[in-house]
Amino acid sequence: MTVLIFMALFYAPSFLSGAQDPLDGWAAPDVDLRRLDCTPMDMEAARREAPGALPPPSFRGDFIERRAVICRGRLMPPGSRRAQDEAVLQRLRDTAARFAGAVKATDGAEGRTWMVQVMHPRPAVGAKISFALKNALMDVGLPVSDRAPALAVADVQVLGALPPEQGWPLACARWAATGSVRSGLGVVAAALRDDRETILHLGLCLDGAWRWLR
Amino acid sequence: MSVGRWRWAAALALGLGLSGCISVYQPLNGLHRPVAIDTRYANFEGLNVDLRCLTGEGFEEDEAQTLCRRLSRLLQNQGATVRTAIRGSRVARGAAADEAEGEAEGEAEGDAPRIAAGPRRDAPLSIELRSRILHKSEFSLLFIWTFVTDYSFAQDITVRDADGALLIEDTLMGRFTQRFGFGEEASERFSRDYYRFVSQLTHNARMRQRVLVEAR
Repeated sequence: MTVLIFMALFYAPSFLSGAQDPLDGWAAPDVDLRRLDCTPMDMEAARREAPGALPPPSFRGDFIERRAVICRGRLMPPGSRRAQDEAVLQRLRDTAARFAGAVKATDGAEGRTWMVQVMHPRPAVGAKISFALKNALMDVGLPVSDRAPALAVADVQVLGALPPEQGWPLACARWAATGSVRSGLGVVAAALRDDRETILHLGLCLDGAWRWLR
Repeated sequence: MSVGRWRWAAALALGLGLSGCISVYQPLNGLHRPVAIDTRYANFEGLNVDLRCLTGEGFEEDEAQTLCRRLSRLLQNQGATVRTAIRGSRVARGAAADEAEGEAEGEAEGDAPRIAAGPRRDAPLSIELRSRILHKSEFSLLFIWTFVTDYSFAQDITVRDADGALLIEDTLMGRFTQRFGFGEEASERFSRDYYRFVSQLTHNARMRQRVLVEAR
């Protein structure tokens, strides 16, 4: 009996304190923690972040230090997309917003209509990036065209054989020379430069001149 | 004591013997982000890295040293030449000094082949790591024995180029719970996430550095 009491005293705190803990609680809801992106914060910040999800503060005070963890579930289960695509798409909204901000801050950006060109090995992912970037540009008040800059077949063949650091400036010059990107238009390009990276790079083509912004 | 009681006592003793203080790990933010890089390959050949591990509240100098040493090995194993510094001190400890320590850091190395560092081709990347405890709670019995320790932490990582231009900044967050019980040790899972995350971040920064060099 003594042993049992000792055991109860020994293990009860662990057993009870973690009962509802999604990490390893025995009475926790069945969730895949790797599908959640969580941010721990104090209760006040959590009430602002997730209104209505937490009880209001007690008028008589609360003498226990409480904290909250706000979690957002990922749309796709782990492993359902290539890791590189998943990493890019998970942060696409932030990336597109940052890119749009950088474009807007560029000299000569105002008063132009922007075309979006995406360089990504998988067209389905490229289409999502293009869509997000167009929306972000419109969000910051920049006019966007649905048209894509075009090149002749011979140009594409030549550009395809060049490394990106030479290919993009040449493409930009050709767009201007062929009249595909006229005065008053600009091209925003989002590109993946390497198979192992999980960030996009941002480039601009203005009046036949190419430059990388990020 | 009857045979039945002896069996119960033996089962309890076995349970006690097999249990212990275990850590459970939960990636909160960043750590479980997908990575495209394979840390077993020479991803950073020719790359020079200045690694700075800052101390802070809840993150003492010896811990910063351990962190820097392990990350240094991680990057060296992928071909980088690494110099480390603790706190705000001048970067002074060469890769050779790190190598002289000689001890294999199992978690950092994994099964990666040892690769000699390449020549200094790129301008150095400066990686700064600032670790902090976000929250810590302890559950004690009779105010004497601490049975459960639960803490969450964050690490801010910034990567700059030789001119100080910011290439990448990111924050990872994780949580550990230490308690009595049964279960797997969390350190391996954490190490796998963490070292892959840092490697990916370093590679992304290197790519951005190249793009910015082209822009100049």
